[in-house]
Amino acid sequence: MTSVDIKEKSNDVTTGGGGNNNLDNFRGGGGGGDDSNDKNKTQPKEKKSSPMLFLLFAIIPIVMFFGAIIFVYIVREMGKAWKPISMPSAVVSSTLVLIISSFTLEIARSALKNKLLEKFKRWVMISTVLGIAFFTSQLVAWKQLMAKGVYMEATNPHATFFYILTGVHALHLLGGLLGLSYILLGAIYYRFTAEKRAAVDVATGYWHFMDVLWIVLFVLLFVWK
Amino acid sequence: MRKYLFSQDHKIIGLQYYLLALLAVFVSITFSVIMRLRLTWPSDVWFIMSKLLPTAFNQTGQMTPEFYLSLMTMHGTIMVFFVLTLAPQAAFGNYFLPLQIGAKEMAYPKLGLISFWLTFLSFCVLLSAFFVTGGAPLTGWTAYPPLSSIVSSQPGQARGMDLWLVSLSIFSLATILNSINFLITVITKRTTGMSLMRLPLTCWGWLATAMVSLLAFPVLLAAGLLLLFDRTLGTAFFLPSGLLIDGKVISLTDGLPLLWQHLFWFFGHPEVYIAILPAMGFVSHFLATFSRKPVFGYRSMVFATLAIALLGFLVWGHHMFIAGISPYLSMTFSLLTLTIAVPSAIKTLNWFGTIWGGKIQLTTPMLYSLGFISLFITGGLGGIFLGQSSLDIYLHDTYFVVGHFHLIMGSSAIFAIFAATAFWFPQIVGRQMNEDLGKVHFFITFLGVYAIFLPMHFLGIAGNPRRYAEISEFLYLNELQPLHKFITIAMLVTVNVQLLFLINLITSIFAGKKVKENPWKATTLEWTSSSPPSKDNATTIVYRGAYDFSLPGANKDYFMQTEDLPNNSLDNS
Repeated sequence: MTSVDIKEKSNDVTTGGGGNNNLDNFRGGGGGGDDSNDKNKTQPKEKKSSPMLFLLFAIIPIVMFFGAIIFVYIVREMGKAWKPISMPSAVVSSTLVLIISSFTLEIARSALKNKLLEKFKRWVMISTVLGIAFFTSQLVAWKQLMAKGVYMEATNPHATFFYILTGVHALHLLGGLLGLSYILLGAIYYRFTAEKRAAVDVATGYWHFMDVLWIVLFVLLFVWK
Repeated sequence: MRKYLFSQDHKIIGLQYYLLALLAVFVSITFSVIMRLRLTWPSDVWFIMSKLLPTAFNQTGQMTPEFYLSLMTMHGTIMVFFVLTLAPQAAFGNYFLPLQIGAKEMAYPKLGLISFWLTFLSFCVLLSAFFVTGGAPLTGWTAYPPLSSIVSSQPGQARGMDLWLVSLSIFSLATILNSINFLITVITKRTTGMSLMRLPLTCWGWLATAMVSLLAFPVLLAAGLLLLFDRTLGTAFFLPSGLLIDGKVISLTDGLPLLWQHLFWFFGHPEVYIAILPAMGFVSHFLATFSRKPVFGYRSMVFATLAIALLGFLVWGHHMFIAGISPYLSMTFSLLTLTIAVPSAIKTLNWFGTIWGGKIQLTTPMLYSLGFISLFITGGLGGIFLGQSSLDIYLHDTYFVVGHFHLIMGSSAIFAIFAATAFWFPQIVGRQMNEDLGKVHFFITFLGVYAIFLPMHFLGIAGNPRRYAEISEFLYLNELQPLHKFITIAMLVTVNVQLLFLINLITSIFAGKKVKENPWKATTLEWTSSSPPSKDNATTIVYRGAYDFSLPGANKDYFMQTEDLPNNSLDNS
């Protein structure tokens, strides 16, 4: 415990999201130390920041942000100018791709847990490709709508919401994709192990959250009336 | 450069926030002085200023009413965001939260650095609105559409409004990041023995404010972005159909201006508590220290803080009583609003309970704290009138509201900031601020604030509308002009007295009385470190609650949180 002061610098997580090797020291849970047997009570216990907690506190404002837009959506849907747009077919493939990518990422994570590093690398790669495929598919959906002459204009609120919700979701997912790329790099250089996988947990958690958020938006835009 | 400008040390970041707030308050007070002068002597001609800002003055050198409105907008925006949100929470919170909970640093030091520079950027963007074509926006800090959503409605509603929205979006982002940092710091970085119920009430204030910010600011960000889309991308979220603008009728858009008001006040009302909750924490803390008594009802203080934070999210509709919402909804919001009086009264009662029978030391921080309570009660009583929808319909667009929120949100929070500055100055600098200058400053400012804002309540009852650049055109308001003159003179005196504070602040850094550690004989952890604190915080184990003053049977006046009693082990904490 006396060497705590020196160790402290390298142990503490100094960056957010998913971008630092130091995240590897994450031990999970509420971030408390586990040295309850420590007899030396004149020195305070060292505490660790918890990346999972960061993820939770990042999700809360994002939920509020989308909640506000969804609130406006629901109110506007009751208005007179509302003309539902037909669903661009690419949206279905986007949704499927994103759901599958969540599963492949989970396979990758459990592979890492079971110390199967090669399998981990392979499935992270697949997930990243699927992530990029989602973006492409969303772009195709935009193109499909524009080809039909449906633009973001004042007289067509449903179309406006489609462009804005998909756009803002894509921006948030871009953060997830950056996280995935970081994981992929780490996987290629074998930087993660079964014990050192805080960044993987956080990036996966964020990806799942973005997945669920997209399903909510999809239901809101095209299923729920 | 690395060490001071882009430091990740929470203490440097706290000071940076404080300096930014100081700069902002200076700019913003200047705006209000110009506004009062225009309001009181409308026909005066200002040659020097009309040379500096030719667009803001008409041919004869008289200030245009539009410029008055843009000053009003900027005054409100800067005060609410860059002073009342920054100084109590971001400035003092960043500096003292880690010290008070015994943490080496914030949970994410880089996040603190990013938050500050984003905030600074947003301040620059906001001020730049004055220098673009058309000038700053005229909507007031609430930016109601359709005025705010139509570019061609007024000159100031062009690029100035866009910049205003961009600035607030950046500010929201920075505040969200800062709040995440605060929350995780309190949850994970408390030292051994610092249980939640041993936290100083200052920390509870910062914690509750961080929660409120985390939930409220994303809504402002979303609303601001939608409004920006309305203005730039041709959407119509808040734009009603059938408006006649520039001789053209806007086609069927079916947007709802009321939606903006809902979103804005869903953020805007909690914003009031973002300003006042840390201030309440400061005052509770200082009152206990200078009465040499434990905080009366510590637990009820904590729960009242959380109750206010929660209720703050349920009352936004009381800003919209005259906006055309359903009377049943008004009734609900009225009731919920008056409910806030309960936790507020609990707090006030506990403050009195704390000083009751105490060995009161009338130091400057204590005087400012007592001033806070006085202003809080007076402002709060006005709130009971405004919270009732039936009365609010008459009073809403009058000076009554101006007087009310300047007392309860503006002045009282500013008094808490004064108190905190005087209280923690010895800790930050190692010297004390001049007590005599501080007392003179306190008494004149205290009387001055009442002289300015109390008459505004009478102006409001007499029917004087707010936001008007001049009232000389209205016969029924002519009799009120002397009262306006009185307010302006009181304001000029009070503003100039603030120079005393500034002089005191600056000279005390170099020439203040040197003090030993812990000059106020306070109990909390920040006083265990040296003054000024070294770069790396010392952390120690905590054995007791934050307010162990005058314990019965004890052989001394106070116990620091770090002092152990022989039979007080960690296990039964």
